[in-house]
Amino acid sequence: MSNEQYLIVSYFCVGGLAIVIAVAVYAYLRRPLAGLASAFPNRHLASILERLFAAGLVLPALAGFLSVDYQSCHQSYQSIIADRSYLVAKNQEQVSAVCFFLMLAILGWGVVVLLSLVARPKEPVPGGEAEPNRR
Amino acid sequence: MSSYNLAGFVILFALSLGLTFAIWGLVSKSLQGLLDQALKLPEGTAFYRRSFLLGLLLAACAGSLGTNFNFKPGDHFMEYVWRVAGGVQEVCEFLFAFLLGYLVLVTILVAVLRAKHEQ
Repeated sequence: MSNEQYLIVSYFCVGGLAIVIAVAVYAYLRRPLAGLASAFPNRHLASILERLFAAGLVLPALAGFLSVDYQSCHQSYQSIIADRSYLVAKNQEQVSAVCFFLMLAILGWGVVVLLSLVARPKEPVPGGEAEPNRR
Repeated sequence: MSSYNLAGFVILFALSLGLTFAIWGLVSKSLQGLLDQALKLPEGTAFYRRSFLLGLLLAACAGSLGTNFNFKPGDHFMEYVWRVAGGVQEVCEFLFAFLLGYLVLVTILVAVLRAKHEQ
């Protein structure tokens, strides 16, 4: 396989891998988040959280993948494809950036869930006042 | 990639995973107790525990995959060792950054929810 073929194949493979990692993270966290969301009295908020969760993981993964620039050190395309070890290093850098951005996304979602929990009204006492904000 | 480069990378990756699971083993039970007490919601505990494990694993992968092994067959043994050491340092930085962020998050979570429960 020539270096140019390797560049094309590896670029799209790593892009696909970024989405696969994000989907795996989503699959692992989806059920607890759905369970949490079902505890919110406001159904709209729960629905928004559930729907945006997948996008909120896939987009950071793609952002991490796309953040790596092949032309940062080498000027021409020819000099980029001349060095196979440079291409491998860039692939590793892409996967590393995907993991880092996903790590930040998980922390961000932790903050979102925290704010949702804080905004959640207290459990209604049986026989007490009417349940607030139920839609 | 020569077999020595591959071996160096595998050792670095194994060390990173070892560090990750050591941290997980140290705090996993206490974290579950804390979250159970603060959240009073099993799904919430599961979400934050899984987030913690995933964050640690992603930090370890980000650190170890960012290290590049491109030595030639004639290079010295200690050059591999220094590269592995540099990779472990990077993994430690990522793990530290994640732990710092997560601890701040959990501290705020516990403080705010405790105040809310006491009202």
